[in-house]
Amino acid sequence: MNECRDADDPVDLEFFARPEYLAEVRRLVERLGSQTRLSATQMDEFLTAVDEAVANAMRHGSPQGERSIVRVRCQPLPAGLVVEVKDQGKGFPVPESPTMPDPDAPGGRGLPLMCALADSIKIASGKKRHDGNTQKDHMTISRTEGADRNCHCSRLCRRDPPFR
Amino acid sequence: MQPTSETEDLLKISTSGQDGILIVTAEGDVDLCTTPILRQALETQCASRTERGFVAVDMRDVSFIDSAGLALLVEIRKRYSDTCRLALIVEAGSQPERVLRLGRFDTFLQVCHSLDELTASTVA
Repeated sequence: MNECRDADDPVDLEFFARPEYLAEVRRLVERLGSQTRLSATQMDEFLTAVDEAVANAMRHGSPQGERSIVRVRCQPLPAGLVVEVKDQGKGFPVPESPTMPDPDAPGGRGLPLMCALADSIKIASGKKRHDGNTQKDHMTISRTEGADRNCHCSRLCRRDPPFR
Repeated sequence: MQPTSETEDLLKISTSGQDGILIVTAEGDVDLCTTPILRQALETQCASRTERGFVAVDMRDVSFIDSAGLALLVEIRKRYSDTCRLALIVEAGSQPERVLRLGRFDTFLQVCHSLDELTASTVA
């Protein structure tokens, strides 16, 4: 994992799609988040969303398995963080409104968690597939203090605050 | 470049028993990387139950759990449903508690804040 940073520049990470790096990414985001106005709870939420985005890239966007490359750019702002995750996958169908599956469902919680815990999720180069779903190219998620949780993500985010 | 932490350092597991409850105590982060460690401990404890009873995952020292951890809990609960009632002990207000509630785990698993609370529920 390589980190190159100059003052307030974004931090770029490039690493193999190995789950061991998830904790490294969380530590980085936590460290950068501590320099912002995000509260501890907001950081908890955003760490979860970022973890899910990176884990998603490792599981579904890594055609060469652990030899695939995942790229993460973390941009600190005074009020929060913006994180971009890029992988080498061909994308996956993104439903219009990801909803949390039944409690005893075997999986399918990653995207709903991301949507619930970030202010904004933008999926770039969203090509429409023949089935009407959207393919992702890279994912940008953000969390800022005091942001209107609905302002950037009316398609993806739930409308009520997730944590009470 | 290698990750700075070994997987075993990210999640530590111990097992114990009290009042007929088998307990798996986890300390650290439960994520895509560390779920195999928790899986092994849960499988061992659940397989050791011969009579139906609780297997509790004490996550009060777990600071983080993601969807991979949630999926593991669902899988274990389903696979050992004949002999095990899976219960989760979490720190109030912690990230694990909040994520579990987002996933509505409190609607199908016993989620409590202490072993005493769980023990009392088995008596009630």
